[in-house]
Amino acid sequence: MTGILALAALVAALGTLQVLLSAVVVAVMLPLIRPWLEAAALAGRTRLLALLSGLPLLSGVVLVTACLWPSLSQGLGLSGDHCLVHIDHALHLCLAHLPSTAPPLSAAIAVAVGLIMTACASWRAATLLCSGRDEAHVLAAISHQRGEIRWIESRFPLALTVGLLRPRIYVSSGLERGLDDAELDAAIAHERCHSRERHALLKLLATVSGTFHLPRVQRELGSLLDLACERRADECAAIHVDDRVRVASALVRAHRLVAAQPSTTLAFADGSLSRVDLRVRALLMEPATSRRHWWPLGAAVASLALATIGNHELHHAAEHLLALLV
Amino acid sequence: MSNPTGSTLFKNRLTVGFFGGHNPLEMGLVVGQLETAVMEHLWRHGASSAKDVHRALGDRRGIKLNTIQSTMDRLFRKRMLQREKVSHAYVYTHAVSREELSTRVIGEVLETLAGGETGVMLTAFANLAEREGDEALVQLEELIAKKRRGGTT
Repeated sequence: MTGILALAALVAALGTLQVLLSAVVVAVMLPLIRPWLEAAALAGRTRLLALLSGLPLLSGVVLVTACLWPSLSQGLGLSGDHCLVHIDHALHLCLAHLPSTAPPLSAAIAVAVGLIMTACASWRAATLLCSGRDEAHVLAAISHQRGEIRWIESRFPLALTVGLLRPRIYVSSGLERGLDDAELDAAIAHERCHSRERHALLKLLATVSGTFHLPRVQRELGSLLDLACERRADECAAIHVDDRVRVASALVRAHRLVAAQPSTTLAFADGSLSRVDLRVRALLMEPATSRRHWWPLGAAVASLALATIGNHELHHAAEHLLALLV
Repeated sequence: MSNPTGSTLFKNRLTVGFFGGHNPLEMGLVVGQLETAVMEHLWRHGASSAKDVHRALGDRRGIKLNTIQSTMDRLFRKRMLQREKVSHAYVYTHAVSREELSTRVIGEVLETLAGGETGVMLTAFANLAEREGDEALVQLEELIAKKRRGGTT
């Protein structure tokens, strides 16, 4: 039992160190790659930002799996006893040759940090899922279906997409009254894009996996992803109504309706250009001819291939590193 | 018509949920599935007694008259219904219109969304938490007008 616990602690410590290292690398690199991110094609940008949010967690999982692979493949009968290759190692990341000593204090601290981060991410996921479920029930209870849209009798100018796997589009009578037909069509096309591309699910995954980033990076990535999703939906709406200015006009009109509502919410005032300003100005420009960048996908595939091919080397390096910590 | 006094309905925050009263959003008013159905009936058909509502909803759903009566009494105590005694029975009418209830509920949902990160669970065309000043909107409208006239931004 001690051996299993010690191995679990070492593996968890290894994963935690990788997560922390990746989080620091992303924090350092983000200001440098931000201009490039903002120039990437919108459809790819949303996925790229979500991937970046989950990078520390993903890299931790990949590293741990790669390091344990020689032992796992032995357990599955795919290979022989790998520990015989490096019998001189003081420590083995192996299910067959479990450590005989209790985990060191440094590993225990790393495990504790990892557990705290995992608990925070799980709590965040549970809270978001519960509140999302409640919001969906609230909106379903006060709306009625007409075609593909659920309509809400309310003076609030609303066009919302709610739901993760089967999103529903909600539009309020306040928005219907406040926009002309073409503008309303643009607003609904905007929501259809959110629904089709599962933006709420993407944002949820990014938010939860983003817990493993530094707080400043979490906020920055969240804000970039939010804006990218909105701009992507604006572009879809512009293609649908075949009029970019019409979408911009609908957006400004909807915000006029919002401004006319009694203040129930607080405005975000961070001194930067507001998102509606950025969205409208982007719509008034010619559609960007951003190239589709394939290298992030290539880099991800190459990393996975390297982790697969080089799992023995990673396994050795991890054993050396952990031996130093011990 | 009578109304209960000192009710905390509108002092509390509003929500609608189907999970027996507890709601992580902690927003006070809970309108369950049956309560929603009763409100729907009264919005559509106007003044009705518990027996009328039972005939319309209870038979179909296999719900007893007592349950309908207690549901309507609960809605009355929440100040969502008004009632008047006619002969030996109460006749209920809605005290809150559908639009008023929706607006209040949505206001509360938006307040919750603006106060936390639950906004990631939905996407909106116009963010109600993002209020533009008049000057900024006028500037954007001018840009749009200029673009329509064929100018550049």
